Amino acid sequence: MDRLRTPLFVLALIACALIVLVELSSPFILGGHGAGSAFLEQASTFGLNKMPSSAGVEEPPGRGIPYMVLVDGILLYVIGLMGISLIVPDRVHGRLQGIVTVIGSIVLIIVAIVMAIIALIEVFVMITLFMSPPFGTIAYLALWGFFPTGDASILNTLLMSLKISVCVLLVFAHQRFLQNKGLVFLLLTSLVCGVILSFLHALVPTILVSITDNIAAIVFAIVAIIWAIVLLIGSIPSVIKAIRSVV
Amino acid sequence: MGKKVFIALLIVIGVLFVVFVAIGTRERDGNASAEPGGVLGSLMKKAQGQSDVPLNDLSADCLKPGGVLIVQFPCAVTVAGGGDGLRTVRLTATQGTVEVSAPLPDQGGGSTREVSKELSSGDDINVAVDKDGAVISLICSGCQLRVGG
Repeated sequence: MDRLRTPLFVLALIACALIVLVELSSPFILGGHGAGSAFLEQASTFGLNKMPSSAGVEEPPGRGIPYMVLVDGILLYVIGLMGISLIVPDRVHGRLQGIVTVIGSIVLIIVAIVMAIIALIEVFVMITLFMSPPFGTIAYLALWGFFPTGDASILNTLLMSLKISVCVLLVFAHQRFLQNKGLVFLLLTSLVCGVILSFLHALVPTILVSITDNIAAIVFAIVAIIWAIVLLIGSIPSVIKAIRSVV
Repeated sequence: MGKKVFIALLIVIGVLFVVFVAIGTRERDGNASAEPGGVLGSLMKKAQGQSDVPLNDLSADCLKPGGVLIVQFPCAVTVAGGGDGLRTVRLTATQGTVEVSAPLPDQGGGSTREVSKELSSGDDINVAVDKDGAVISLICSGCQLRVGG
């Protein structure tokens, strides 16, 4: 086990890229199915004189799984950097890594803050609507009331399987990966994000899952910001080194 | 980190995930007309905040000083546009029976949906209004409402 088993490492990198691709494409996979009958069933519990039209009521795609890409994107970047180090000479790799990480982590912090604010505002809108029965609650139900929990659970299970595959493949590729505490904590963070999502989806009745899904999205954005700050701080010495070598 | 510790953590995470997925698969549509309970319910009540439309944003022929609505014929209460997001108009029937109709706030840019509900004396209702404002219709022959709780 002294040498890196490159095929296994490449498989781990491909699995990680798949995770990111699935998360990015999840808004096109989840939701979009009609939920008119469930909407009318819920609306009927308010004892309305005039029932609202159920036309156009669909399952929402949610934000939780797409927002996980903020964390798993960092994982792909870190494993990708390790892969590049196999091809690119150490000297060039060291300089590039520092500069790319500084720029990337600053961009990630800004993007994650904006995304967290968007999700937070949407949570407040959802809560205000839901807590204003019957007019607000029915408007909430029409937009967010029928989260596709089953589909999201299947997708999250697929992602968790891929994440565990990445862990196992990395360990088999080279046991020294376990000595890289940053990588191990990042892998565990990614897995814990999947558990948080399944917990928040299971916590409440289906009509409220859109709210907890947005809360999960906010948590993922905050986790990504923390990791981006860690990467930013960690990359400063190599940037200073690169600048010194030029000057 | 040791290999055994890492594998143990993976197993714990896997078990937790399976448990939550299993809990999530049970039948739990929920009832939208019931107030949400538990921790989330109380957090939602706190997060709801103050979003009542101020009285001077309301205009109607039947609106009298002090936020009293005396309705003899169908009356249209116009809620002026404004604010950053959603606001609510709380109406309480104080005398007689009244039918309240209003469009649902449109957050998704879809078609306008209108809903109406009958209120008896003592009943109250929250009408959610988006930043574009709305017209709330009150239909009765001799009834009275109060704006606010």
